[in-house]
Amino acid sequence: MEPATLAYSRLKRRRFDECIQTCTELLQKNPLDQAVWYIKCRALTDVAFTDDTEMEEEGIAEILLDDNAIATAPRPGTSMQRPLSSANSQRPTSRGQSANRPLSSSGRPVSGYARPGTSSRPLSSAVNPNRLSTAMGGGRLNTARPVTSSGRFVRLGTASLLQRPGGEFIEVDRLNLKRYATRPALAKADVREVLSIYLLTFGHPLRALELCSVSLVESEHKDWFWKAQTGKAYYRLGLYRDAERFFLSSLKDQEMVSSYVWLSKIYQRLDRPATAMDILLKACETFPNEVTLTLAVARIHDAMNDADKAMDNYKAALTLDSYNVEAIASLASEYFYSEQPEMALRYYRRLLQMGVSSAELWNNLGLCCFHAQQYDMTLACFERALHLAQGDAAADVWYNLGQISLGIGDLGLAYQHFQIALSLNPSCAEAYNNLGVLELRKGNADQARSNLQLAAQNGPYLSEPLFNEALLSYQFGQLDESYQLIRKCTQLSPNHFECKELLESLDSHFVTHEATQLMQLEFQEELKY
Amino acid sequence: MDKSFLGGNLSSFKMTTTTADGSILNIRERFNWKIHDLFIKQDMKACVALIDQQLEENNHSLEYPLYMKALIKRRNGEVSEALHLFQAAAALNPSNTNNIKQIAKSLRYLLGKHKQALAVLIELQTTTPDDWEVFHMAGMCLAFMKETDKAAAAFLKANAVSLHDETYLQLGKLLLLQQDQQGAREVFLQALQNSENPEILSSLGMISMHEGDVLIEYAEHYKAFDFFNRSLQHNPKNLKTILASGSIVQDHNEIDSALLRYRSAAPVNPDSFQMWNNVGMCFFSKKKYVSAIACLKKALYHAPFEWIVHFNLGLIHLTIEQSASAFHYFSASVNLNPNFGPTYMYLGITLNRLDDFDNACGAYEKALQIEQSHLTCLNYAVTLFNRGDEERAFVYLQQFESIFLEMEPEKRQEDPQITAQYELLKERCKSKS
Repeated sequence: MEPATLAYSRLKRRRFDECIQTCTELLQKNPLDQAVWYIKCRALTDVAFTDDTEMEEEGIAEILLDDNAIATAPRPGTSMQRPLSSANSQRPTSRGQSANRPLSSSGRPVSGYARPGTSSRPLSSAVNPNRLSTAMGGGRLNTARPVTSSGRFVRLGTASLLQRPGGEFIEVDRLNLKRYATRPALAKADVREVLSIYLLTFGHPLRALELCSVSLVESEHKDWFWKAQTGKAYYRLGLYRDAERFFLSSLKDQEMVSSYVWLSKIYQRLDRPATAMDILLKACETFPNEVTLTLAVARIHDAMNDADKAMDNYKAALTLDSYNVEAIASLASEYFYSEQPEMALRYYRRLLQMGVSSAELWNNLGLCCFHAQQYDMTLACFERALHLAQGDAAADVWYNLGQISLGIGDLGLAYQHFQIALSLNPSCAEAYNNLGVLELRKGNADQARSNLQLAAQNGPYLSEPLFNEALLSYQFGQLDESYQLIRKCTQLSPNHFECKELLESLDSHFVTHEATQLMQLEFQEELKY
Repeated sequence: MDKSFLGGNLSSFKMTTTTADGSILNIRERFNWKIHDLFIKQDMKACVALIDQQLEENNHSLEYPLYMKALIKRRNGEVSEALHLFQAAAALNPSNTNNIKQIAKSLRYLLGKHKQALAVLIELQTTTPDDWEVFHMAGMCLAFMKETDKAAAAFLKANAVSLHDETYLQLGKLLLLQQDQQGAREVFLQALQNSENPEILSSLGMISMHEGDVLIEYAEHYKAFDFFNRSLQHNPKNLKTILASGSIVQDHNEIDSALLRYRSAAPVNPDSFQMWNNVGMCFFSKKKYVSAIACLKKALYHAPFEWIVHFNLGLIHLTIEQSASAFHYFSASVNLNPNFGPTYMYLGITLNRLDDFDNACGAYEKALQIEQSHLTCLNYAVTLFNRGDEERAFVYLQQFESIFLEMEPEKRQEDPQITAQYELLKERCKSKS
């Protein structure tokens, strides 16, 4: 076969590596062969392309120097940074949800499906006083967060592509963009589109912007694609407002799902979830059967801690696409936390049938089995989970095994399980807290206290260790410590009844007695004159 | 009333005259009124600012600002700093017992230094013998140091000066700790003559309830119920009282009114495991097993260490013949509390249903070791008989008889099922032999 045709055929069959190889050979012979150049460009782009409609992790710089937020103290329910403050979040009673859903390391309720943005964005300083420290720490093991976000646009497996011997495929700085725009060749538009995608994918937003603006001028500001492309370039540059303008204008020319999703993404970055939601709902009217849109709506509801609405949308997504892993996983976890482990079990089994097999899935299956009282399956599931688990996940599995041992009343075994979890992940605050409680039951107050303190250190978003320590101090008559701890605790969980009770009884010591005394004293003072 | 009003007027009149004199004697204290004003308006920031300014101007030697600053510090939980300030204030004016009292108080709150606080208080008792609070605090310190007799004496002294609900409550608690129910009851009843304190009423109800449980006397239960109701009139949101009154009603098989009471507890604390446990058992009595299990599981979620919730769940699963689950819950309950006989008995029944006869026998014997209960004997006998071991069955049947026939006839007729089973087994045994 003629080599160029072969290369094109390989591109079509998505055998990119072979395609790139053929093209490289051809280009060595004839560096000016435009057709081959075009094929190679597309192949490279396709390999490195990431789904840019997904949210990405934010870097430290974005979080700490966030000058896009409109209000520093947003009203409840209007900001992603304070999901716990939304009006119906604390107790979505409609489905009888349990009091506490576990929190991720940033103090956000865990989602059923790990995706960027939901688990890592630290809450605002009002909720979480150690904002800086949580911002620096990424996951459980305190892996550092990237300094800026552009590093994360690279797909992990393709990072090596960026640094190939012989330099980059296109020498971006030497491109004459105007020439591309004005060249009246066949399929010139296509070449430009591929080039702009290439530039964006390989991290040259500035050059992409130049190309886009040239093309825009040439199309007399009427081409939706170039407008959207300009928006993406602006987004990469962190100029969200400009990006918003271009996407809106692009939507006027041509309504596209991706543009809508992008626009909602921008609004989320600006911390305006309500507007993002409006955009998506509007898009849903035009594209009623689009899973991406339904999922995006569900995600925003999830991020705002509005479980009921998120559930509805996940269900809608499932009717559109019954193989959607994200929807199934989210529904399963939601059912699990609203005390319907049997339902959760069915969803997780569905995932298993679809071929998903991970430590997390087996772990969840084990938990569901236990709570649905199918004891024969429980340990088998956990064994598989341990088999597959690595690193943090293994620690979590051991932690859950500890919970199971608590459930069968074997406290000694639970103690050991929590210890193993800690040996695998020494910053697992929940395990420290549980160890502290177990130590307390054994009567080792000092050990318990040190464990609880470690828990509070490692999980500044948790109220439990604070409350436990406050109770401990109270029982030992150290009222001042207890008072300080309980005040911190009430900030974190204002609806906890025992917490309020303890605070009230301490308040009676610290506050009310003085009022009467003050009056007496005042009286004495006056008598002196 | 009039008199004191006049007195207040007089003193303020005096004050204006002195300042009108222009005497600079007391000029350093001229902002005290403002400090007080800001404090009672809860404007702590401004108050602290003013105090700091005053202290700065006067070389930190003003008693009242120091005292106030200490109070504010203590409100914020910074007790050690507050203590230093109180001590500074006391050094300026050693004759003001208030400062010394606050020092004692801070010492008690601070790191629980009860001994030192007590030393200060004993000194104070000589200078101000007519302050109830000094005696009360001394009592609290002594109670914490486990010197119960001295503590009780101190509380009595405090009451001799003037009567306070708080003192009565502490005294009653002290007596309860010493297992002196009767004494505590008298103390509380005495307190009731002065005022209807909801907490005292609740405590009285608890005492009556426990006594009613021990003696199995309905009269005590009615008394307790009355106390609880009176307490709820004053404070309808006291969770403990609501739950206790509900449990009494539940014990007397008035399930619906018990549920009504628990419903009023739910908004106070929806996470209370005691409430969910009791609600679950209410449903159990109404034979709504699914709801019962749901409630009990919720209780278990909030209190994983409570053996009684495990026990109740086991009971329900045994009733709906899910023996494997029942076994699981009973074994968890045994793990958490190995000293409750009936759990072992039910464990025996469950194990027998799971065809593990040997371990079932072991469980029964353990139950009999802990407590010689007629129910355990009868169940053991039935199990043995059904397994074909008539001889041993007969032994335990006799054991059952010896316990059962000694009981009062009223109690014997409480559960007709027991007598029915007993008679059936007796007949069968006879016919076999």
